[in-house]
Amino acid sequence: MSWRRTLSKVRFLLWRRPDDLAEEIRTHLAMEEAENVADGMRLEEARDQARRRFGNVTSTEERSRDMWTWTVLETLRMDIAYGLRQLRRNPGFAAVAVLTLALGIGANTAIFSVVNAVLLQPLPFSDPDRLVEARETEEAPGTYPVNPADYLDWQAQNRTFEATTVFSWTGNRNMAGPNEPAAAAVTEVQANFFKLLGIAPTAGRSFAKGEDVAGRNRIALLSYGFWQQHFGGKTGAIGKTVELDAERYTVIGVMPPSFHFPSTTDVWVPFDMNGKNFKTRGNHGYNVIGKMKRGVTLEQARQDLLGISLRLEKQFPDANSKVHAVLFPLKDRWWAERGSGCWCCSALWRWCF
Amino acid sequence: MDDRVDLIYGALDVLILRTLQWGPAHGHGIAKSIERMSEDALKVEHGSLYPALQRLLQEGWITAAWGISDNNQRAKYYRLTAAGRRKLTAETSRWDRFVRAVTGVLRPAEIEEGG
Repeated sequence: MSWRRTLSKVRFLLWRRPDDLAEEIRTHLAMEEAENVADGMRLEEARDQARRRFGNVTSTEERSRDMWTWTVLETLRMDIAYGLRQLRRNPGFAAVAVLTLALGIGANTAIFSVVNAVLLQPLPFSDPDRLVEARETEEAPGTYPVNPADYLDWQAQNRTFEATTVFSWTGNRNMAGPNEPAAAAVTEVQANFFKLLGIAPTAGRSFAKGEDVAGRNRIALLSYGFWQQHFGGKTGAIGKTVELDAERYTVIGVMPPSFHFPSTTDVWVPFDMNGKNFKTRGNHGYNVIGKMKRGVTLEQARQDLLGISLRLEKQFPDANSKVHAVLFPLKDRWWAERGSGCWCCSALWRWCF
Repeated sequence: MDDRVDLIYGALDVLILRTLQWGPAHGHGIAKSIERMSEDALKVEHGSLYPALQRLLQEGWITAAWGISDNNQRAKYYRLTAAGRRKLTAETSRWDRFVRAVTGVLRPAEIEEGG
Protein backbone atom coordinates (compact mmCIF):
# COMPACT_ATOMS: atom_id res chain seq x y z
CA MET A 1 0.00 0.00 0.00
CA SER A 2 1.35 3.34 -0.98
CA TRP A 3 1.79 5.85 1.81
CA ARG A 4 -0.59 8.18 0.08
CA ARG A 5 -3.31 5.58 0.39
CA THR A 6 -2.40 5.01 4.03
CA LEU A 7 -2.64 8.74 4.56
CA SER A 8 -6.05 8.91 2.93
CA LYS A 9 -7.21 6.03 5.13
CA VAL A 10 -5.98 7.77 8.25
CA ARG A 11 -7.65 11.00 7.20
CA PHE A 12 -10.82 9.09 6.50
CA LEU A 13 -10.75 7.45 9.93
CA LEU A 14 -10.11 10.73 11.69
CA TRP A 15 -12.38 13.09 9.82
CA ARG A 16 -15.13 11.06 8.22
CA ARG A 17 -18.75 11.70 9.10
CA PRO A 18 -20.27 8.30 9.81
CA ASP A 19 -23.63 9.10 8.20
CA ASP A 20 -22.04 10.29 4.95
CA LEU A 21 -22.57 7.10 3.07
CA ALA A 22 -26.12 6.54 4.34
CA GLU A 23 -27.05 10.05 3.24
CA GLU A 24 -25.47 9.53 -0.14
CA ILE A 25 -27.44 6.34 -0.68
CA ARG A 26 -30.68 7.99 0.47
CA THR A 27 -30.11 10.77 -2.07
CA HIS A 28 -29.41 8.23 -4.78
CA LEU A 29 -32.63 6.35 -4.09
CA ALA A 30 -34.63 9.59 -3.98
CA MET A 31 -33.22 10.68 -7.36
CA GLU A 32 -34.01 7.35 -8.98
CA GLU A 33 -37.46 7.39 -7.47
CA ALA A 34 -38.14 10.92 -8.78
CA GLU A 35 -36.96 9.90 -12.23
CA ASN A 36 -39.22 6.86 -12.20
CA VAL A 37 -42.15 9.03 -11.17
CA ALA A 38 -41.32 11.42 -13.98
CA ASP A 39 -41.39 8.38 -16.32
CA GLY A 40 -44.99 7.89 -15.23
CA MET A 41 -44.68 5.28 -12.44
CA ARG A 42 -46.84 5.34 -9.37
CA LEU A 43 -44.95 6.43 -6.25
CA GLU A 44 -44.88 2.97 -4.68
CA GLU A 45 -43.82 1.31 -7.89
CA ALA A 46 -41.16 3.99 -8.41
CA ARG A 47 -39.75 3.35 -4.94
CA ASP A 48 -39.67 -0.44 -5.43
CA GLN A 49 -38.03 -0.08 -8.80
CA ALA A 50 -35.37 2.25 -7.38
CA ARG A 51 -34.58 -0.21 -4.62
CA ARG A 52 -34.42 -3.13 -7.02
CA ARG A 53 -31.98 -1.32 -9.25
CA PHE A 54 -29.87 -0.35 -6.29
CA GLY A 55 -29.63 -3.79 -4.68
CA ASN A 56 -29.12 -4.47 -1.00
CA VAL A 57 -28.56 -1.16 0.79
CA THR A 58 -27.08 -2.58 3.99
CA SER A 59 -24.62 -4.79 2.18
CA THR A 60 -23.62 -1.89 -0.06
CA GLU A 61 -22.91 0.22 3.00
CA GLU A 62 -20.92 -2.58 4.56
CA ARG A 63 -18.91 -3.30 1.44
CA SER A 64 -18.20 0.40 0.93
CA ARG A 65 -16.95 0.76 4.49
CA ASP A 66 -14.96 -2.47 4.19
CA MET A 67 -13.12 -0.84 1.31
CA TRP A 68 -11.36 0.97 4.11
CA THR A 69 -10.71 -2.42 5.66
CA TRP A 70 -9.72 -1.17 9.00
CA THR A 71 -12.53 -2.77 10.91
CA VAL A 72 -10.10 -3.85 13.61
CA LEU A 73 -8.75 -0.35 13.95
CA GLU A 74 -12.27 1.00 13.90
CA THR A 75 -13.22 -1.25 16.81
CA LEU A 76 -10.08 -0.23 18.61
CA ARG A 77 -10.87 3.43 18.05
CA MET A 78 -14.32 2.94 19.54
CA ASP A 79 -12.88 1.02 22.49
CA ILE A 80 -10.37 3.77 23.17
CA ALA A 81 -13.01 6.46 22.85
CA TYR A 82 -15.24 4.54 25.24
CA GLY A 83 -12.36 4.03 27.67
CA LEU A 84 -11.48 7.72 27.63
CA ARG A 85 -15.11 8.70 28.25
CA GLN A 86 -15.27 6.34 31.22
CA LEU A 87 -12.00 7.65 32.64
CA ARG A 88 -13.14 11.25 32.32
CA ARG A 89 -16.35 10.39 34.09
CA ASN A 90 -14.48 8.77 36.98
CA PRO A 91 -11.15 10.57 37.64
CA GLY A 92 -10.48 8.71 40.92
CA PHE A 93 -10.66 5.38 39.20
CA ALA A 94 -8.58 6.80 36.36
CA ALA A 95 -5.85 7.85 38.79
CA VAL A 96 -5.77 4.43 40.43
CA ALA A 97 -5.69 2.70 37.06
CA VAL A 98 -2.84 4.87 35.82
CA LEU A 99 -0.90 4.39 39.04
CA THR A 100 -1.42 0.62 38.91
CA LEU A 101 -0.18 0.50 35.35
CA ALA A 102 2.80 2.69 36.20
CA LEU A 103 3.79 0.48 39.13
CA GLY A 104 3.22 -2.66 37.12
CA ILE A 105 5.34 -1.48 34.24
CA GLY A 106 8.01 -0.18 36.60
CA ALA A 107 8.20 -3.42 38.57
CA ASN A 108 8.38 -5.50 35.41
CA THR A 109 11.10 -3.32 33.97
CA ALA A 110 13.11 -3.54 37.18
CA ILE A 111 12.78 -7.32 37.41
CA PHE A 112 13.61 -7.73 33.77
CA SER A 113 16.74 -5.60 34.07
CA VAL A 114 17.95 -7.74 36.95
CA VAL A 115 17.02 -11.04 35.35
CA ASN A 116 18.57 -9.90 32.10
CA ALA A 117 21.83 -8.91 33.78
CA VAL A 118 21.99 -11.89 36.10
CA LEU A 119 20.53 -14.80 34.20
CA LEU A 120 20.23 -14.06 30.52
CA GLN A 121 23.47 -12.35 29.63
CA PRO A 122 26.44 -14.64 29.16
CA LEU A 123 29.32 -14.30 31.60
CA PRO A 124 30.91 -10.89 31.18
CA PHE A 125 34.28 -12.54 30.61
CA SER A 126 36.08 -13.41 27.42
CA ASP A 127 35.39 -16.94 26.07
CA PRO A 128 32.86 -17.71 28.82
CA ASP A 129 32.12 -21.15 27.39
CA ARG A 130 35.66 -22.30 28.06
CA LEU A 131 35.59 -21.23 31.71
CA VAL A 132 35.00 -23.91 34.33
CA GLU A 133 35.02 -23.99 38.08
CA ALA A 134 36.95 -26.85 39.70
CA ARG A 135 36.03 -28.41 43.03
CA GLU A 136 37.05 -31.54 44.92
CA THR A 137 35.23 -34.49 46.41
CA GLU A 138 35.95 -35.82 49.90
CA GLU A 139 35.18 -38.93 51.89
CA ALA A 140 31.99 -37.16 52.92
CA PRO A 141 29.40 -36.70 50.16
CA GLY A 142 29.24 -33.44 48.22
CA THR A 143 31.89 -31.27 46.59
CA TYR A 144 34.25 -28.83 48.28
CA PRO A 145 36.58 -26.01 47.41
CA VAL A 146 40.05 -26.99 46.33
CA ASN A 147 43.19 -27.72 48.34
CA PRO A 148 45.88 -25.20 47.29
CA ALA A 149 48.68 -27.77 47.10
CA ASP A 150 46.49 -29.99 44.90
CA TYR A 151 45.80 -26.93 42.80
CA LEU A 152 49.51 -26.30 42.19
CA ASP A 153 49.86 -29.90 41.00
CA TRP A 154 46.88 -29.51 38.68
CA GLN A 155 48.35 -26.33 37.32
CA ALA A 156 51.72 -27.94 36.68
CA GLN A 157 50.52 -31.27 35.28
CA ASN A 158 47.27 -30.68 33.34
CA ARG A 159 47.24 -30.92 29.55
CA THR A 160 43.75 -29.60 28.80
CA PHE A 161 43.82 -26.06 30.20
CA GLU A 162 45.12 -22.93 28.60
CA ALA A 163 45.40 -21.43 32.09
CA THR A 164 44.12 -21.91 35.61
CA THR A 165 43.77 -19.43 38.42
CA VAL A 166 42.95 -19.54 42.11
CA PHE A 167 41.32 -17.05 44.47
CA SER A 168 40.33 -16.90 48.12
CA TRP A 169 36.98 -16.29 49.78
CA THR A 170 36.25 -12.62 50.22
CA GLY A 171 36.95 -11.35 53.74
CA ASN A 172 36.61 -8.01 55.47
CA ARG A 173 39.71 -6.11 56.49
CA ASN A 174 40.08 -2.73 58.12
CA MET A 175 41.41 -0.17 55.76
CA ALA A 176 43.35 2.87 56.87
CA GLY A 177 44.54 5.02 54.06
CA PRO A 178 44.80 8.58 52.92
CA ASN A 179 41.16 9.07 53.90
CA GLU A 180 38.88 7.92 56.70
CA PRO A 181 39.09 4.29 57.89
CA ALA A 182 36.68 1.84 56.27
CA ALA A 183 35.84 -1.82 55.99
CA ALA A 184 37.09 -3.32 52.75
CA ALA A 185 36.01 -6.68 51.34
CA VAL A 186 39.28 -8.22 50.16
CA THR A 187 39.81 -11.16 47.82
CA GLU A 188 43.24 -12.68 47.34
CA VAL A 189 43.97 -13.88 43.83
CA GLN A 190 46.68 -15.46 41.74
CA ALA A 191 48.40 -12.85 39.56
CA ASN A 192 46.87 -14.22 36.33
CA PHE A 193 43.29 -13.92 37.69
CA PHE A 194 42.23 -10.93 35.58
CA LYS A 195 44.18 -12.04 32.53
CA LEU A 196 42.38 -15.39 32.55
CA LEU A 197 38.97 -13.70 32.80
CA GLY A 198 39.97 -11.28 30.07
CA ILE A 199 39.30 -8.16 32.14
CA ALA A 200 41.62 -5.14 32.05
CA PRO A 201 41.57 -2.37 34.65
CA THR A 202 39.86 0.88 33.72
CA ALA A 203 42.75 2.87 35.21
CA GLY A 204 46.26 1.88 36.18
CA ARG A 205 47.54 -1.64 35.56
CA SER A 206 46.70 -5.21 36.48
CA PHE A 207 48.80 -7.70 38.44
CA ALA A 208 51.83 -8.87 36.48
CA LYS A 209 53.34 -12.34 36.32
CA GLY A 210 55.46 -13.02 39.39
CA GLU A 211 53.77 -10.41 41.56
CA ASP A 212 52.00 -13.10 43.57
CA VAL A 213 54.95 -13.97 45.81
CA ALA A 214 56.05 -12.54 49.15
CA GLY A 215 58.02 -9.35 48.77
CA ARG A 216 56.24 -8.28 45.59
CA ASN A 217 52.61 -8.84 46.44
CA ARG A 218 51.81 -5.73 48.52
CA ILE A 219 49.84 -4.18 45.71
CA ALA A 220 46.09 -3.74 45.33
CA LEU A 221 43.41 -3.24 42.70
CA LEU A 222 40.21 -1.38 43.67
CA SER A 223 36.66 -1.97 42.53
CA TYR A 224 35.17 0.98 40.70
CA GLY A 225 32.53 1.57 43.38
CA PHE A 226 35.06 1.45 46.20
CA TRP A 227 37.34 3.84 44.31
CA GLN A 228 34.46 6.30 43.82
CA GLN A 229 33.36 6.03 47.42
CA HIS A 230 36.69 6.24 49.21
CA PHE A 231 39.02 7.90 46.74
CA GLY A 232 36.57 10.31 45.12
CA GLY A 233 37.14 8.67 41.76
CA LYS A 234 40.47 10.48 41.42
CA THR A 235 43.25 8.98 39.34
CA GLY A 236 45.57 10.28 42.03
CA ALA A 237 44.48 7.23 44.02
CA ILE A 238 46.87 5.14 41.95
CA GLY A 239 50.22 4.97 43.64
CA LYS A 240 48.72 5.81 47.05
CA THR A 241 49.34 3.51 49.94
CA VAL A 242 46.50 1.89 51.86
CA GLU A 243 46.69 -0.20 55.00
CA LEU A 244 44.67 -3.37 55.10
CA ASP A 245 44.68 -4.86 58.60
CA ALA A 246 47.87 -2.88 59.23
CA GLU A 247 49.69 -4.21 56.18
CA ARG A 248 50.65 -1.64 53.61
CA TYR A 249 49.60 -2.05 49.96
CA THR A 250 50.14 0.22 46.97
CA VAL A 251 47.10 0.88 44.79
CA ILE A 252 48.03 0.05 41.19
CA GLY A 253 44.70 0.19 39.40
CA VAL A 254 40.92 0.36 39.31
CA MET A 255 38.65 -2.27 37.75
CA PRO A 256 35.80 -1.33 35.38
CA PRO A 257 32.38 -0.48 36.89
CA SER A 258 30.83 -3.60 35.39
CA PHE A 259 33.30 -5.98 36.99
CA HIS A 260 32.09 -7.64 40.18
CA PHE A 261 33.79 -10.96 40.70
CA PRO A 262 33.63 -12.35 43.28
CA SER A 263 30.57 -10.21 43.62
CA THR A 264 31.15 -8.24 46.82
CA THR A 265 34.87 -7.57 46.41
CA ASP A 266 36.18 -4.04 47.08
CA VAL A 267 39.89 -4.77 46.85
CA TRP A 268 41.86 -7.53 45.10
CA VAL A 269 45.38 -8.36 46.32
CA PRO A 270 47.80 -11.07 45.15
CA PHE A 271 48.45 -14.27 47.08
CA ASP A 272 51.84 -15.38 48.20
CA MET A 273 51.89 -18.46 46.00
CA ASN A 274 55.03 -19.70 47.80
CA GLY A 275 53.39 -19.34 51.21
CA LYS A 276 52.86 -22.07 53.75
CA ASN A 277 49.19 -22.44 52.80
CA PHE A 278 50.08 -23.63 49.33
CA LYS A 279 52.13 -26.50 50.75
CA THR A 280 49.58 -28.05 53.11
CA ARG A 281 47.31 -30.89 51.93
CA GLY A 282 44.07 -32.03 53.48
CA ASN A 283 42.24 -28.72 53.79
CA HIS A 284 39.86 -27.27 51.20
CA GLY A 285 39.42 -23.55 50.99
CA TYR A 286 40.31 -22.16 47.60
CA ASN A 287 38.30 -21.33 44.53
CA VAL A 288 39.70 -22.48 41.21
CA ILE A 289 38.77 -21.41 37.71
CA GLY A 290 40.21 -22.99 34.60
CA LYS A 291 40.13 -21.88 31.01
CA MET A 292 40.01 -24.98 28.83
CA LYS A 293 42.06 -25.09 25.66
CA ARG A 294 40.07 -24.47 22.50
CA GLY A 295 38.25 -27.63 21.40
CA VAL A 296 38.58 -29.40 24.76
CA THR A 297 35.31 -30.68 26.20
CA LEU A 298 34.30 -30.50 29.85
CA GLU A 299 34.58 -34.29 30.06
CA GLN A 300 38.11 -34.37 28.63
CA ALA A 301 39.19 -31.70 31.11
CA ARG A 302 37.55 -33.59 33.95
CA GLN A 303 39.34 -36.85 33.00
CA ASP A 304 42.62 -34.95 32.81
CA LEU A 305 42.32 -33.50 36.33
CA LEU A 306 40.91 -36.75 37.68
CA GLY A 307 44.04 -38.57 36.45
CA ILE A 308 46.18 -36.12 38.43
CA SER A 309 43.88 -36.50 41.46
CA LEU A 310 44.24 -40.30 41.37
CA ARG A 311 48.04 -40.03 41.28
CA LEU A 312 47.93 -37.62 44.22
CA GLU A 313 45.60 -39.99 46.07
CA LYS A 314 48.23 -42.74 45.77
CA GLN A 315 51.02 -40.36 46.71
CA PHE A 316 49.21 -38.92 49.77
CA PRO A 317 46.81 -41.68 50.84
CA ASP A 318 45.96 -39.99 54.15
CA ALA A 319 45.30 -36.40 53.08
CA ASN A 320 43.92 -37.17 49.63
CA SER A 321 41.73 -40.22 50.21
CA LYS A 322 38.77 -39.93 47.80
CA VAL A 323 39.82 -36.38 46.90
CA HIS A 324 38.97 -36.13 43.19
CA ALA A 325 38.60 -33.15 40.91
CA VAL A 326 35.14 -32.25 39.59
CA LEU A 327 34.31 -29.50 37.10
CA PHE A 328 31.31 -27.24 36.54
CA PRO A 329 30.70 -24.65 33.85
CA LEU A 330 31.53 -21.31 35.45
CA LYS A 331 28.16 -19.83 34.50
CA ASP A 332 26.46 -22.22 36.95
CA ARG A 333 28.46 -20.75 39.80
CA TRP A 334 27.91 -17.24 38.49
CA TRP A 335 24.16 -17.71 38.52
CA ALA A 336 24.17 -19.26 41.95
CA GLU A 337 26.29 -16.48 43.39
CA ARG A 338 24.51 -13.57 41.73
CA GLY A 339 21.10 -15.17 42.08
CA SER A 340 21.38 -15.54 45.84
CA GLY A 341 21.93 -11.81 46.08
CA CYS A 342 18.40 -11.10 45.00
CA TRP A 343 15.40 -12.95 46.31
CA CYS A 344 13.27 -12.48 43.25
CA CYS A 345 15.96 -13.96 41.10
CA SER A 346 16.61 -16.92 43.31
CA ALA A 347 12.87 -17.53 43.46
CA LEU A 348 12.72 -17.31 39.71
CA TRP A 349 15.81 -19.45 39.41
CA ARG A 350 14.29 -22.19 41.55
CA TRP A 351 11.07 -21.96 39.60
CA CYS A 352 12.80 -22.19 36.25
CA PHE A 353 15.32 -24.92 36.98
CA MET B 1 -35.64 -11.68 -21.95
CA ASP B 2 -32.71 -10.08 -20.15
CA ASP B 3 -29.74 -10.17 -22.50
CA ARG B 4 -27.68 -7.71 -20.50
CA VAL B 5 -24.20 -8.90 -19.51
CA ASP B 6 -22.54 -8.88 -16.11
CA LEU B 7 -19.48 -6.69 -15.69
CA ILE B 8 -16.05 -8.27 -15.67
CA TYR B 9 -14.27 -7.60 -12.39
CA GLY B 10 -12.44 -4.30 -12.53
CA ALA B 11 -14.38 -3.01 -15.51
CA LEU B 12 -16.65 -0.91 -13.33
CA ASP B 13 -13.66 1.14 -12.11
CA VAL B 14 -12.73 2.05 -15.65
CA LEU B 15 -16.32 2.87 -16.55
CA ILE B 16 -16.60 5.22 -13.59
CA LEU B 17 -13.35 6.96 -14.49
CA ARG B 18 -14.55 7.26 -18.08
CA THR B 19 -17.85 8.79 -16.95
CA LEU B 20 -16.07 11.35 -14.83
CA GLN B 21 -13.94 12.42 -17.75
CA TRP B 22 -16.73 14.82 -18.76
CA GLY B 23 -16.84 16.48 -15.38
CA PRO B 24 -17.89 15.90 -11.78
CA ALA B 25 -20.93 13.72 -11.14
CA HIS B 26 -22.79 12.22 -8.20
CA GLY B 27 -23.37 8.49 -7.69
CA HIS B 28 -26.77 8.42 -9.29
CA GLY B 29 -25.54 10.44 -12.26
CA ILE B 30 -22.64 8.03 -12.76
CA ALA B 31 -25.02 5.06 -12.73
CA LYS B 32 -27.27 6.70 -15.28
CA SER B 33 -24.35 7.66 -17.52
CA ILE B 34 -23.03 4.12 -17.61
CA GLU B 35 -26.46 2.79 -18.46
CA ARG B 36 -26.89 5.40 -21.18
CA MET B 37 -23.43 4.93 -22.67
CA SER B 38 -23.80 1.16 -22.87
CA GLU B 39 -27.35 1.58 -24.15
CA ASP B 40 -28.52 -0.48 -21.20
CA ALA B 41 -26.44 -3.47 -22.32
CA LEU B 42 -24.45 -3.58 -19.09
CA LYS B 43 -26.06 -4.80 -15.93
CA VAL B 44 -24.91 -2.41 -13.22
CA GLU B 45 -26.45 -2.79 -9.81
CA HIS B 46 -26.43 0.77 -8.57
CA GLY B 47 -25.31 -0.36 -5.11
CA SER B 48 -22.12 -1.86 -6.49
CA LEU B 49 -21.04 1.64 -7.51
CA TYR B 50 -20.40 2.77 -3.96
CA PRO B 51 -17.74 0.24 -2.92
CA ALA B 52 -16.06 0.94 -6.26
CA LEU B 53 -16.13 4.71 -5.59
CA GLN B 54 -14.54 4.17 -2.18
CA ARG B 55 -11.84 2.07 -3.83
CA LEU B 56 -11.11 4.80 -6.38
CA LEU B 57 -11.02 7.43 -3.63
CA GLN B 58 -8.43 5.35 -1.80
CA GLU B 59 -6.29 5.03 -4.88
CA GLY B 60 -6.41 8.79 -5.23
CA TRP B 61 -7.91 8.58 -8.72
CA ILE B 62 -10.99 10.59 -7.76
CA THR B 63 -11.92 13.09 -5.05
CA ALA B 64 -15.30 13.72 -3.47
CA ALA B 65 -17.07 16.84 -2.19
CA TRP B 66 -20.61 17.67 -1.21
CA GLY B 67 -22.53 19.91 -3.60
CA ILE B 68 -26.04 20.78 -4.72
CA SER B 69 -27.66 18.84 -7.55
CA ASP B 70 -29.72 20.27 -10.43
CA ASN B 71 -32.93 19.79 -8.48
CA ASN B 72 -31.53 21.38 -5.36
CA GLN B 73 -30.60 18.21 -3.51
CA ARG B 74 -27.47 17.83 -1.42
CA ALA B 75 -25.33 15.24 -3.19
CA LYS B 76 -21.76 14.06 -3.13
CA TYR B 77 -19.92 14.87 -6.34
CA TYR B 78 -16.96 12.84 -7.57
CA ARG B 79 -14.23 14.40 -9.66
CA LEU B 80 -11.37 12.85 -11.64
CA THR B 81 -7.84 13.67 -10.41
CA ALA B 82 -4.76 13.96 -12.60
CA ALA B 83 -3.70 10.50 -11.42
CA GLY B 84 -7.17 9.23 -12.30
CA ARG B 85 -6.85 10.67 -15.78
CA ARG B 86 -3.51 8.89 -16.29
CA LYS B 87 -5.03 5.69 -14.96
CA LEU B 88 -7.91 5.95 -17.41
CA THR B 89 -5.56 6.35 -20.36
CA ALA B 90 -3.49 3.36 -19.27
CA GLU B 91 -6.56 1.23 -18.59
CA THR B 92 -8.16 2.12 -21.90
CA SER B 93 -5.18 0.95 -23.92
CA ARG B 94 -4.88 -2.13 -21.72
CA TRP B 95 -8.54 -2.85 -22.32
CA ASP B 96 -8.08 -2.48 -26.08
CA ARG B 97 -5.24 -4.97 -26.05
CA PHE B 98 -7.32 -7.35 -23.92
CA VAL B 99 -10.27 -7.18 -26.27
CA ARG B 100 -8.06 -7.66 -29.31
CA ALA B 101 -6.36 -10.66 -27.73
CA VAL B 102 -9.58 -12.34 -26.66
CA THR B 103 -11.17 -11.65 -29.99
CA GLY B 104 -8.14 -13.10 -31.76
CA VAL B 105 -8.49 -16.29 -29.81
CA LEU B 106 -12.23 -16.60 -30.26
CA ARG B 107 -12.49 -15.85 -33.98
CA PRO B 108 -10.85 -19.01 -35.43
CA ALA B 109 -13.22 -21.13 -33.35
CA GLU B 110 -16.10 -19.31 -34.97
CA ILE B 111 -14.71 -20.00 -38.43
CA GLU B 112 -14.20 -23.69 -37.66
CA GLU B 113 -17.72 -23.99 -36.40
CA GLY B 114 -19.05 -22.05 -39.36
CA GLY B 115 -17.01 -24.12 -41.82
